[in-house]
Amino acid sequence: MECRTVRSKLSSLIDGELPHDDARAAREHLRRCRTCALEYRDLVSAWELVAGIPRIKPSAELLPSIKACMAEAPAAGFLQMRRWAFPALATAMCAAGITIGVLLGGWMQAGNRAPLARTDETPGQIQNFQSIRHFSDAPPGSLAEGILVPSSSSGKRGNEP
Amino acid sequence: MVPPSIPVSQYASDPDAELMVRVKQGDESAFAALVEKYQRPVMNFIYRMVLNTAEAEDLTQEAFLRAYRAAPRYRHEARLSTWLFRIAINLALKKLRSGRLKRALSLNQVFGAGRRVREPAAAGLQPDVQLEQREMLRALETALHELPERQRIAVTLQRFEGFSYHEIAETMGCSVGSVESLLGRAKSKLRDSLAPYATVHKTGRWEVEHGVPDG
Repeated sequence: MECRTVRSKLSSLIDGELPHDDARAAREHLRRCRTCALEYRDLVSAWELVAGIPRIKPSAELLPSIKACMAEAPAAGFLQMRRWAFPALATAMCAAGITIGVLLGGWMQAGNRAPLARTDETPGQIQNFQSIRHFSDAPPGSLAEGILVPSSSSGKRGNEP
Repeated sequence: MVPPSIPVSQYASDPDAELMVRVKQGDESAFAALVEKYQRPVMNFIYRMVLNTAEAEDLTQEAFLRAYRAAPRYRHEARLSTWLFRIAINLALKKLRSGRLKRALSLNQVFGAGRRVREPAAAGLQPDVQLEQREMLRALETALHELPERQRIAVTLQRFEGFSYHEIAETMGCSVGSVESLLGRAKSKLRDSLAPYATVHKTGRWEVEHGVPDG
């Protein structure tokens, strides 16, 4: 093994995570190479120091406190149901909203389209819209402006010359 | 990255599995037994991340409550400890990134009063030796705290909890290669930070004075 290879494996060697053959080859290299051996020694020293950091001791109240919270907590089954129920409910409400919106939009569009005459309609058909003739007097800029008001038999649109 | 696939049979001998089965059936005492077993490692892990005893205890409680609530969804695909520590990691990182703790954290707090750290036995030691020990501890904690988050997680799980690289990879949701890389870089940084103290260590003084680390 070359120095570069060995150095990349030193950490795993220290933690005992190197495969057996690799570990043996690395140790063999460390016996021969003083530079790598010093590197290994320094890493081991620092690593052992870290292991000496004292541990935190939980307070005596932690366990009773967790037990108390467990008793107060809703049953896990309920929470699981709720976790599923909320997104499902939200999705259903969104779907319902979209459906209503589409239906309502379609209905309104149909309602707006009805008074408009198509160019292929015959003057006779246009006569059927006599009931909206009164829109011809609508002021400019009002909602009613531009709506077809059939003239007697020419088939012209309401505001067209 | 995708965690490595680990066969279920590998965990067939997990002693906590039976307890979790009982927890799923609504046995609170089984979960209490798990809390008793894991409260110290989980709290120590969280403490290494947030460096605040009160926060660590609160987050430990939260971690166990989350685990309790999620117990019905727990699948025995990984060891329970891996699953618990994953919850702990998520909570600790969330807290660290919340900003509130970032502002509150300072090294003064780290070494402030009220810590329930088990200090090395100082009885019979000269005051200057005790001072030296405290300085070394401070340097150690600072060196560990200055590691990037992911390196600190890997170091804590490996060095303090005895996790294998596979278990760390599974807990952190990364590959074993990433864990190797994280720990390699962490060791190099710790070596640089602790170089002056490592010399003391090499004389054997630290080992004699502090005894075997509690693990």
